[in-house]
Amino acid sequence: MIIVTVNDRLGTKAQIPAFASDKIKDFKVMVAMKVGREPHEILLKRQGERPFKDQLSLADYGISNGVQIDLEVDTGD
Amino acid sequence: MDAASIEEINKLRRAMGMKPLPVPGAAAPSQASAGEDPDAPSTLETREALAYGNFKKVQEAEEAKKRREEKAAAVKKARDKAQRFAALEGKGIADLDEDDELDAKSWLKNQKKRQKKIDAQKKFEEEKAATQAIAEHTSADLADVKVAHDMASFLDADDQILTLKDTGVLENEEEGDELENLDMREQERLQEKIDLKKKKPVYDPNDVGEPGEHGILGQYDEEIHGKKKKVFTLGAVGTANDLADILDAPIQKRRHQVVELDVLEDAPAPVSDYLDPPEIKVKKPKKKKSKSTRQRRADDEDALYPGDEPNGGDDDQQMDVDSGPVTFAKKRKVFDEDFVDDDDLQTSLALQRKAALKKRKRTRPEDIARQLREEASQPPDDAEADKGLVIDEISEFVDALHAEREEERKAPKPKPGNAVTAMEEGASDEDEEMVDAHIKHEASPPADVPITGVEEEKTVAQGLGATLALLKDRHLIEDQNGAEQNAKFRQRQAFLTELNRRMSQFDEDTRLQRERDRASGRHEKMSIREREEYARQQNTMREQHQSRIMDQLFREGYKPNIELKYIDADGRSLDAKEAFKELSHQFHGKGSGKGKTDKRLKKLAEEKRRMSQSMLDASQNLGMSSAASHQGKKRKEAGVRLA
Repeated sequence: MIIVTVNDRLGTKAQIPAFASDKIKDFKVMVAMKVGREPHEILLKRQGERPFKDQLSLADYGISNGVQIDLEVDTGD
Repeated sequence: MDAASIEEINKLRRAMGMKPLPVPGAAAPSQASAGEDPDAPSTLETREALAYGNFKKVQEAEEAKKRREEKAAAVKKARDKAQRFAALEGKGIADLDEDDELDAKSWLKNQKKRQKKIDAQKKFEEEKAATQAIAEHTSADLADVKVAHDMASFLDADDQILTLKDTGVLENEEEGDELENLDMREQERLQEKIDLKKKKPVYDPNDVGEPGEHGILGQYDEEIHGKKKKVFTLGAVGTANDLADILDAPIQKRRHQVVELDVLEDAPAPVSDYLDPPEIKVKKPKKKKSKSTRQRRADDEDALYPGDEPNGGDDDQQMDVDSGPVTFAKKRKVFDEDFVDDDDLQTSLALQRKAALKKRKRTRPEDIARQLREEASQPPDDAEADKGLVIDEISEFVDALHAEREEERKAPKPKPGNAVTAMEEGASDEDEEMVDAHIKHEASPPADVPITGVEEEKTVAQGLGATLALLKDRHLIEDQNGAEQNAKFRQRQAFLTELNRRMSQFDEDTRLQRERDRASGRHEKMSIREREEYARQQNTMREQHQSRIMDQLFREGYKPNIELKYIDADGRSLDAKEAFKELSHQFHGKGSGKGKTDKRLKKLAEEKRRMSQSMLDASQNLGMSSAASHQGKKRKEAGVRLA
């Protein structure tokens, strides 16, 4: 179980426990529940990089315990 | 993460179908799940753990290696150090002393022992050397060994190293060992090479002939039979003898080569390549002799330099063939030599010169005095002689001059006569005058004729008339034609008076006529207009009449003296040519160029200078510089004034 920090640099910062092998899709649901949005409105990414894809897992993206990821709004573009 | 929040999250996870998170307080997951698959590291943690383990292992291995190497280095270092100090093992000098006794006595006691030790050591070494020496060769070993050099070459007495010669195996078996000196061998080879390169001719006539190469084509013997070797054998006994032979040999050689030189004296003398001096005939280039012209013997009169001896001069000339005369006196003769000219003319001129010189030379003081006396007495003689009429060159010349003068006098003389006697042109008068002139002329010469036969000039002191005559003679005053002018003047005055008289007469006539008319009483009859008309008629008639008369008068008497006087900018009067020049310059608007103006200015300056000069100054009468001669030149008259 790893604890990942999600920060949108506008005031919303949350720690979410998860397994490293969880898929990004499921993780987004967790984040949405914590933040108070819908899962399809959330975009998870590292700064300056492309957003994470849903099919891959956290471990694939190298997200381990204590890593902070950016949280952004997914407008569908 | 507190348990409550995790519980909530687990609820959600279960709803989604994900595995629940491990709650901290909850019981550990079952062991079964732990032992799923130990070989296949499916989970990340296991993989990481494995990786960590591997890494650790690797690290440990490296460290071990490092330690081992360090150890090995340390061991090696220690060993080297030990080795270094190994030499220092044993007793040092001080240690030695310290081992044994320190005081002198014991040292002295031990001295013997020490010495013995040293001697023993020495002996031991010597024996060693001796045994070694025994092992070496002696000269006896080389008893029968050949040396492949000539014995003579070893006379240098240096220590020479001989080595075994290189030979093939079979050859070595045949001939045995040979020793040779490498240096000498090299030198021989070098010498051979040089000799070959020199390309000496095969036949050497000076060579007496060595026994080896005596036959025909002896140069190939070496090729065929093999190189001749000089070998001597090292023998314990025989070497000294050989040496002795070598030393003797050269001397013997020399004796063979003694040549008798006395034979050469009787031999015939060789034919000389040079000719004998008397046989040689060399042609000297001949000097060209210049044509020797025969010199006329210099006369006493001819020689202007009395110091010059004619004989001596001739002799000198005869002596000199090429060079001309050197002294100043002879220069004239040289001139005569070279100057090829008309001989006849020259002779005649020479004669004339001689005559002149003869005459000139005769003027000596006594002669001059005599001459003067003669002159004094001469005039009366001349006067007498004149009646006899002596005609000679001079008198003819003088007559010519006089004739010219007469012509001049002819013209002016009748004119003044004319002027005086107005309109009378009497031929008789002329004749009379001419006669008078002639008489006068004849009377005058006898008084004035000097030796030269020309009249003396009139001097200024004689009077104004004489002055005028002098000036006229010198042509400094032009003929003014005074008579003509006078006549003209008179005529003009006459005319004018006549004119005035007529004019006044006319006026008088008109006045009289008008008075008469007035007196006649005709005027009362006529009216004013008729009177005017009548008056007008009368005037016109009178005028016509008067004009006719005046016209006639003018036609007869009026002779105007028209003088065209052209005056220069400077005030000089110009003649016709100059005047025309001025006119054309003004017409065309430009004057002369630089040259012409310079010429004109020069001329004007000259004229001014001449005018300013005293015309009567005779001191400048040196040929052409006198005024008279200059005037004569202007008038293109020949002749020079002598006195």
